[in-house]
Amino acid sequence: MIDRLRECGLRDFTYIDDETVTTCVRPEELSQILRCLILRAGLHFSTCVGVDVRGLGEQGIEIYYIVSGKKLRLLLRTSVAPSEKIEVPLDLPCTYWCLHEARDLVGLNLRNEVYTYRFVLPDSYPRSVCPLRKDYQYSERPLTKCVQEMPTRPEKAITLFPHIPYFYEHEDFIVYVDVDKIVDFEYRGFYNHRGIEKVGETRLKADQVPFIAERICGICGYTHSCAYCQAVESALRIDIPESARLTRTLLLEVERIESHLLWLAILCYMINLRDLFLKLMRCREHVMSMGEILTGNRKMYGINVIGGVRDFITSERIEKAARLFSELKTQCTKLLQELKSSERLRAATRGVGTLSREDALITGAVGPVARASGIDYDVRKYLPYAAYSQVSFSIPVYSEGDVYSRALVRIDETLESIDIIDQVLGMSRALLEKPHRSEYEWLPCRVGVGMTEAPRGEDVHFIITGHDLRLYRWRVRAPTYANLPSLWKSLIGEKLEHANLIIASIDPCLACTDRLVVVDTGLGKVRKITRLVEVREA
Amino acid sequence: MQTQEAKLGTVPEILYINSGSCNGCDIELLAAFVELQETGLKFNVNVEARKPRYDILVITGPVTAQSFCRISRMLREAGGRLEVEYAVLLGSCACGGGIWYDSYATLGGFDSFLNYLRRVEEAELTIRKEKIYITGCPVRPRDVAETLREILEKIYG
Amino acid sequence: MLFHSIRGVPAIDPEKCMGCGACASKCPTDSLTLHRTRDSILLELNVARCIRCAYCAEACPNNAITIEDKYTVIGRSREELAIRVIVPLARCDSCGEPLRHSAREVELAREKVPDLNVIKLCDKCKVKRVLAR
Repeated sequence: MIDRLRECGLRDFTYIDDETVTTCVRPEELSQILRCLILRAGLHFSTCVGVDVRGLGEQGIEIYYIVSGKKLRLLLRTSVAPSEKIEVPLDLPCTYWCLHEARDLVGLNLRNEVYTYRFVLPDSYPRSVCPLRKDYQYSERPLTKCVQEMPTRPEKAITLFPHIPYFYEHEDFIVYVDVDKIVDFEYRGFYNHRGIEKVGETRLKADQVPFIAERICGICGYTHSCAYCQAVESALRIDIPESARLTRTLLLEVERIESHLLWLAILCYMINLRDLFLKLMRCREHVMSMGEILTGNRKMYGINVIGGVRDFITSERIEKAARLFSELKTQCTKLLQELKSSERLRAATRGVGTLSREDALITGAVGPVARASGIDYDVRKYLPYAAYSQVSFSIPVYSEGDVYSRALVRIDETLESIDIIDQVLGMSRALLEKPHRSEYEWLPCRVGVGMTEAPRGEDVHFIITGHDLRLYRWRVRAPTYANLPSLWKSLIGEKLEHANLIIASIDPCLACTDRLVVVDTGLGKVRKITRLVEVREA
Repeated sequence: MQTQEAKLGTVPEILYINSGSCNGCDIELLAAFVELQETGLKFNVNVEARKPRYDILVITGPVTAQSFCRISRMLREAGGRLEVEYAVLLGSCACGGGIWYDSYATLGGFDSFLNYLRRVEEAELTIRKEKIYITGCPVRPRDVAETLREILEKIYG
Repeated sequence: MLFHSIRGVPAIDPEKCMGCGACASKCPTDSLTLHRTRDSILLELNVARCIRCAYCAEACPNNAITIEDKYTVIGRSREELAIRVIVPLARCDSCGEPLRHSAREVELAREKVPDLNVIKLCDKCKVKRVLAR
């Protein structure tokens, strides 16, 4: 693998841990190197991180590009002088978002901006406000009267109501249509930007951060706290006990089942399989109970700490969970088989929203979206963490790239997860072995990356440690962040009626299938669909 | 059901706003709605304010700066003035700002959001009867369903 | 064991709390806060903001915090959702002025290290005693 990196012009590697190497590159070579790594060497672009390094005794901004492959994680480090401008590689859409985020949050200068509006922050925040710069007070709220420029082409905009009344959150997908064909697509999101990274870097100590990491997402929160803990463990070279590895694996898989069942239930709702929707939701309730039995809370397990897990797992809890699991296993498997063989599912989703393998590569798609397009990238196999090297499982991959394949990937994955949980519960003696956590010593200025395979795909946490049990930089890249850019490829050219289904098919984290603004470019005709969805319909 | 509707004339309207929550509470709310269905009480759920008055406002999340813009735009479109009979605050975030109560990107919960709304946007959101805090991270569907049922029964009389 | 079946709201035992603030420094949401008045320490739990992580119970050196099975607390105002525990400060043996440590902290120190002669004197009286020698 290292040879392939050399071919792309990289030299002088330093190892952070067994799988992570880092090297320095000059800003002007970067686009070329990234192109070579992604398109020629077949590596996966994870994300980039802007760091204000003035607190580390240096000048300007540093950008870390994280690129990953089989048994290898590469950190490319670039120093950018305060006045220097960085070029966005236009042929690699996977880099757009993180570079614009670095522009908004740490004040990186871009030569060719793709998004001219404020990307992450509200439009009313002045351009000079860069919250992740070290001189910015974290609780300062420069709130003024709101201005919002959207859609950017304010022809006749039509608002489509969300089709699922409950999963509504503020996020705008703007679709430009010609009669009923989608010709362009715009996304305005980040309404959920809560300043987590800054809170983790300032108010909280590193040992409290797993709790905030868990609250990034209400569906796949545990995977975030795992990724964070792994990042710290890799930076400080902490070896975690066997029992902690198994506990994390067990809960990660419980969470995966719960998340996939929710998505499948929503899919059923959308394609009018109301009966299956209710059945899947009921089945999901049992999975939630399993989390509660093991950790004391339905969601937000709160079990992870740096160096392992807290002492929640007892033999009674394991037994109780195993009993519940054996019941739900058969029920769940039956439901999934029923859904898989459903003619309605095939008819409604086959050939819709196709994403080719090449497009998935350059947009940086991850998780079930990538695996439905023929990319077998799964962090659990590529860079095994927790106890995934001890259990056997397979990675379902489909090559069609349509919504149907994405559904099949998720169904198969749920079945695999059930199998993994069975294996882990079978190792209950190792699970209960004490201690559950290792002691560690805090060291400043260490870099670490933690990656997990969340239900929606690869989840990346990047940290630089600071002094006194504090973080200097913490960056989170949730899987949906990587999946949303792929919508540009899968939406355009499709029919308007499928827009909701395609957007939902990447499983937008925070389960939102949102407000759609439809702009008719061809006729300029206004269509207004306003209806109050009644709960009794469900 | 027939008699209830006849007495009231209309079905209670719930306005549900997600102001930047992690979706933990939102999904528990969905489970609560599923549970409520079985009680036979009728209600409508809206996610966009189109009228100046709603019966119940259900809000989740700490109100992020971004969604503040979105909510105030919605309020402006609805006439700058919104009246609700009951406000139900779901989860630690809406009740007290949660783990990001003092972050630059949130307003720190619903109460502080009301202050900002008055100060910055000159819009008004009035709660006529009661404000109910349901705490927990996330909330439990059973307790949410229970509270909503009580309110709905009060509305139906 | 930290909790029985559900990780609910922390309950502070006012008989056991000694106002050391270990819980407040561990609380990720700052829902546990410590205030000092002239003659007591006030520990306040803001249930509205609490995320039920039970980190406080883990941190408490005197097991004064237990995790209840009660998870949801429903209130009509923020005031209703605050739990306050007042811990009196120890007083100077000589002049009766409040000291920096709570009475329970001093007691516990005496219990844990019986040989240690804990002097319950305020700074002023300490100086006076030394000068008198």
